[in-house]
Amino acid sequence: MPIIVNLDVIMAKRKISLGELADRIGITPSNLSILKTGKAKAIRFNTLESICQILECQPADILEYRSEQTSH
Amino acid sequence: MKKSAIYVLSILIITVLGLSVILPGIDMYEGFSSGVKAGLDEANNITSEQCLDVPYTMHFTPTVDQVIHGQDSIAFANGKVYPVVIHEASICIPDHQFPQWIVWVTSIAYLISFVLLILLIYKFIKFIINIIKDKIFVDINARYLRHFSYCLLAIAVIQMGVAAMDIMVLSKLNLSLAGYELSTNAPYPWTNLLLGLISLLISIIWSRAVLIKEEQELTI
Repeated sequence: MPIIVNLDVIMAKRKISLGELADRIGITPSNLSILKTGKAKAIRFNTLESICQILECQPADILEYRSEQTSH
Repeated sequence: MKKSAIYVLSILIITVLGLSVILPGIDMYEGFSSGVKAGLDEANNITSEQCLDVPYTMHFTPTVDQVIHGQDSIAFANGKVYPVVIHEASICIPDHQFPQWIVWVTSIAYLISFVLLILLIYKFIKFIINIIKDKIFVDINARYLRHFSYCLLAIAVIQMGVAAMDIMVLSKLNLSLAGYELSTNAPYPWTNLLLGLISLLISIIWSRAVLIKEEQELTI
């Protein structure tokens, strides 16, 4: 999929663990892991809002569009 | 709908399916074994006037005139005679008038249909078991439904072929009976065809439902 999730990069910068972030957003760690590993098919606006609020970032910091040709 | 309703319906479907297979199966076994026995007993004593093959069953549609002024009658053992209107009869056609290859092709076609029927039931039971286990919108169920519909459609196509051959036989024999219109016994399989197409449509919808469910589950 050409949408890349850079959540792990932001999490590393903010030095926050998966469990803690999941707990603060209010979703299960397994769901956050699905998002982090790029297996998710969609993200709700309120989830994105919570992530941006907690990690103090913009949606563009988390999601990135990379065309199929560039990604190969 | 409650989960218990799904269980009850599933068990009911399996029971009806079982009965619809077991009861005709017993009849088929009895008919087959008695046919083989009779065939072996009579093999040496047969004459050209007797049945050499499976009797050819035909439908008789009486004309209006025949129904109103019917001349046919049947005498019972108690001596009473009643008027009759024929609707179906088995005709013993002498061996030399009946194309043998049709008997073989029809027998093979019915055997293939039987195998497809067993496969169809197997797939359907697997589907129902998954439903009972609460594994409903999964990919395998869509596949079971698709296979079920393919089997039904294949059986319908075979039955159509058999019906077409029956019509061919009927036209070659050039049979006629005053007051009646003769037609073949093999029915066109509209029910199987319709059920096959409906289940194919449901299997496609099921596949879409599985996709939607996956997307729903992977929406964070």
